[in-house]
Amino acid sequence: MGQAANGFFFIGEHLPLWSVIPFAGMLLSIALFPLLAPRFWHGHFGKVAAFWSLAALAPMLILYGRAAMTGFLSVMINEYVPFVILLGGLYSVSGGILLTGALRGTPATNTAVLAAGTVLASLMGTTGAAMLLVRPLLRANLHRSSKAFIIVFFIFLVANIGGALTPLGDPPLFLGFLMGVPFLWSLHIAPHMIFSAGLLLAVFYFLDRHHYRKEGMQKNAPAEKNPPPFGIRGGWNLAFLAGITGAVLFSGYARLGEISFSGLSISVQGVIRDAAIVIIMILSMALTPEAIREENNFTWFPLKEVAILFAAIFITMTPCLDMLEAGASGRLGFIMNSLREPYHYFWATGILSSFLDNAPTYAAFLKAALGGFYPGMSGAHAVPMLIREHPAWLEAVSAGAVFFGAFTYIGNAPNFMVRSISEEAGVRMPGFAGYVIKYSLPVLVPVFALVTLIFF
Amino acid sequence: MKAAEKKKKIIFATKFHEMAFNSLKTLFPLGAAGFGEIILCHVIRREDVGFVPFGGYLREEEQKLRNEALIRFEDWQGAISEAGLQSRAVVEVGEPVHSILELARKERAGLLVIGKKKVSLMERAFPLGSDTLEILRRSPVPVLVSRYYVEYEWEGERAVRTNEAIFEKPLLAADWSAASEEALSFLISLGAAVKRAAVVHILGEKEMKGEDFALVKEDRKIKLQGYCERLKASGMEAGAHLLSGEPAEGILEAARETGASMIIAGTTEKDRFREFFLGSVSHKITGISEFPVLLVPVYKGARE
Repeated sequence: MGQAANGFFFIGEHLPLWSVIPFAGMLLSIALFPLLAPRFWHGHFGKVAAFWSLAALAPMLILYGRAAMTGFLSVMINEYVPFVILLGGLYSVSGGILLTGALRGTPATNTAVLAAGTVLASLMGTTGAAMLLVRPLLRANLHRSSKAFIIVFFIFLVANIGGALTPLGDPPLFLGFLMGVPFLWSLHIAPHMIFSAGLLLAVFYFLDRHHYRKEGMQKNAPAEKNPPPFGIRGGWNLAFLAGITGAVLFSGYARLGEISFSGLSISVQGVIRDAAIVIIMILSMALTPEAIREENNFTWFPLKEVAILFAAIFITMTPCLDMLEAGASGRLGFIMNSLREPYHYFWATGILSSFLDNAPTYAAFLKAALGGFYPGMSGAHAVPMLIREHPAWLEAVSAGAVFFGAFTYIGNAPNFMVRSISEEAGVRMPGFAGYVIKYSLPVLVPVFALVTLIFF
Repeated sequence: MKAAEKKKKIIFATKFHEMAFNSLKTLFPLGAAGFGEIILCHVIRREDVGFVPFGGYLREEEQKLRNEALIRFEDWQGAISEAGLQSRAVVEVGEPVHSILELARKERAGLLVIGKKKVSLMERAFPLGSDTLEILRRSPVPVLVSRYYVEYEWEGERAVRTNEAIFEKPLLAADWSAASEEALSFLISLGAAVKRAAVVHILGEKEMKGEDFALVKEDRKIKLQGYCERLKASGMEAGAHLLSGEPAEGILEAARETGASMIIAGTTEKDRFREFFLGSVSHKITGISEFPVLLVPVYKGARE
């Protein structure tokens, strides 16, 4: 809603604390329903999302009328729609690329696949890279008895940490891009990412080697009799991925003005970017043989789920973000007062990103940082100032949101897709608690502690 | 043993709609046409058990659905065995169209049977997008769209039809294309399962308007007779019918008038976009017909 919604007062300063309840309810629903009532959640998540959306919308519309409506519409048009279009573009285009050939799941091969995925994640999105590589990785390790840890490290690296370098990589960074963070600014967290990924790859290699030897695989690893030739099908989709990157870059640098109507403003370059991505999606769907997508087990269903859930997340988080943007004078001022140093932001953003989705968490803490330094100032003006004057805070929020998304299955959308595909393929993945206790706490916490010591 | 192995296979894919078992029973006469095995297939849609939002995979739900399907199939297999046919049950998690077509290819099936509950007005208006249409568009083997109990509209009245002995009086839609030839060959291969066949050609607008209409009409009659002769040579009765009008509606009208038990037609593979813009007579018939429709594709090498 923000000040753009009303020329006379800043809504964020007046919103009551209870207006964050729908946002909290939505995020808690995402966190708890898959654990406590997965069947109910699978069948009715749309209704739950609609409930929290209405719970957020109705009181705001009653209290603030047109100003609130304009604010919600602005968020949906300027942030939600581009967000879903980009996710859809990356997801559908990468779903048209099929890696063929039989890899053998040795420690070196697995580490190489994870390293390649980590690099690809920033170019084609964590979702795209994860969907591209998870099935070849599963096929390569078909003969292995210990597989779950391979998939867990895949989630750590390919589905999360690898996406830290560009707004294409991970949804939080794209939200930041939409809020005014330049496209290439994310490279500021390249050292954090390279350090974390390098350390995790090394840990993975030795862990995998240990299991490999324990399984006696070095002598008995079966070789497939007639392996299909190694290759890539649907390779033209790589050009489409480059097209999406180009479209996003274009929207970051071109300044073609705005279209304004009914109190709403939409940037022309944003419209061109979204139209280009939609056209690329259509071309990819039309030009890629169905067989390739079917071999990839491509389905629109996960994207539909993400689109529905994120519609509710964007609606319910709007009051919360406005309050954070108001800084110390808003009802969430206590958060700003308790977050003072970059490492506070790194861990606070991270811990919440672990248990809530990392995209809205990123948005909330970026607003908190902006509200702390520049209370009441619009994001368009405050973000460049934050980058110029306090870049470490933005680095902390970005790294916290992206890295800690790996901490649980619910931290980032691709995590659950990878888990689902692996479980369908017969891998006994750890449960929610098992994942955290057996892997995240002993592996990720020390790595993130080192990141804190070195970089923040 | 070798003779038994050569028996042709039928894939019966089902979502366990009402009357699915009755549809299955209508296939039993195909034992007389060289079909020796029915593979019962049920595909659990991946999204019904996988991709729980921010969750994972519903392993127990999958097991439950799998067991439910297997119990139903076990019951059906008893009836199949009593009819003198062999059977197997396949339950998979996946995307139905892909899984069913893969199974048909892998088993080198002679016939793929899919069920359809009824023809709704919505399907008449927007026949694209269903699993049925996808299978028809892409199947390398003949596909029978089985309908046991159908509610439909005829001359503004609501009517009901039960399709029992579906192979006894088939109607072959002929246009002498390669697809039509394939359909004729398939009909001939049904042999003893068929009592009497009707061969129909619908004269289109162009044929009717041309100056040489009389010649065209005579040519089509001769060709129809040619098809009938080939059917008679294989031991079945056959009658020719030359009609005019809109092809799909005309074929349906002919099926009603001749008391046909099913419609058989050839079909060519079309991609999604050609299908959308050009449509397909055979697919349209399948969409609007109250009769079971058997479409035979021109897809070399797919069948033995």
